[in-house]
Amino acid sequence: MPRAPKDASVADLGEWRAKASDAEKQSAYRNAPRQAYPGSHDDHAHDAMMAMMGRLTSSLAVYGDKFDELFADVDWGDDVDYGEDVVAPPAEVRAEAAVFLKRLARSSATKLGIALPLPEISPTVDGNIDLHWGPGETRELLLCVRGKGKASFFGKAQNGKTIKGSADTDSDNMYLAAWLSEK
Amino acid sequence: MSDQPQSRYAVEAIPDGDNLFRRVPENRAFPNGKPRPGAFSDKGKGMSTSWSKYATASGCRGKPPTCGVAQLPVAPLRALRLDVTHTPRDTDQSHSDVIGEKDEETRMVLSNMALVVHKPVSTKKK
Repeated sequence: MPRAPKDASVADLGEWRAKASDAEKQSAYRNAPRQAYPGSHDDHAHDAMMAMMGRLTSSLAVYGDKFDELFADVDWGDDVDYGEDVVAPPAEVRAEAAVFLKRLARSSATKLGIALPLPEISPTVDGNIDLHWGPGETRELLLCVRGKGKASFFGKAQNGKTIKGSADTDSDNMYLAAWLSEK
Repeated sequence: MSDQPQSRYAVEAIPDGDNLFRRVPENRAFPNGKPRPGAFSDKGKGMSTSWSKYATASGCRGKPPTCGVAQLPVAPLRALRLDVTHTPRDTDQSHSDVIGEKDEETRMVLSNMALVVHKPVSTKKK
């Protein structure tokens, strides 16, 4: 029987089990590849959760490094004069965007089992920050962090589905990750 | 900008068939030069552009001329319910504003609609 990756610790699994709702546990079981986990019902669920925890801890480990790189690599335009109409996002908005993105990724991974793709990060002309998932792809989401806890977003999918609204950057906003991961 | 004082130039009607140029800084452009949605935001009451009747794309690149330039056709802008208004300045007869909400949906459409005339020149220190 396949085993969960080494980085899925028992403590991690216990924490997940303690926090996950019944629906989340059922979802983890439903989404497990059945052929890969032969055995009893409980074995299925246990191994599926172990496998998922392994993926999640791996994702979060990657995120931890990638987040810092992502934000460090952004050209905020601090040392360039692009003209009177262009302002760089202030430090507090940058910090807010970073915290928002980390929270969204972590919550999506630990509560929904979704590995959030990394967005492209860029400043807007008026000093806000765009987080842009999947530009030019079948599912695209543009979220603008505007500071003081406010964000607004619009997403569109190739099948015509759209999502639009405002978000509180202090909240989990996991529906955004769920929308991005929809097939 | 639409809240600028009156200019010595007369305000004219911009025909649907004309184009506007929008300066695109390097850090608001995709690597292929296409403007990101973040290149389209208001400053004051509108988004500053240059009317093709009185401006060239090359002349919109800034000094030094490192910015990219995107071309926006007027008719599709108006179809998005954006108001395209000539707002000349004493120093810039071509100045025009695109007035109306630039929410994420609109900015995404503008990014896709824009035609790249000039790609930004990279000023990043290696």
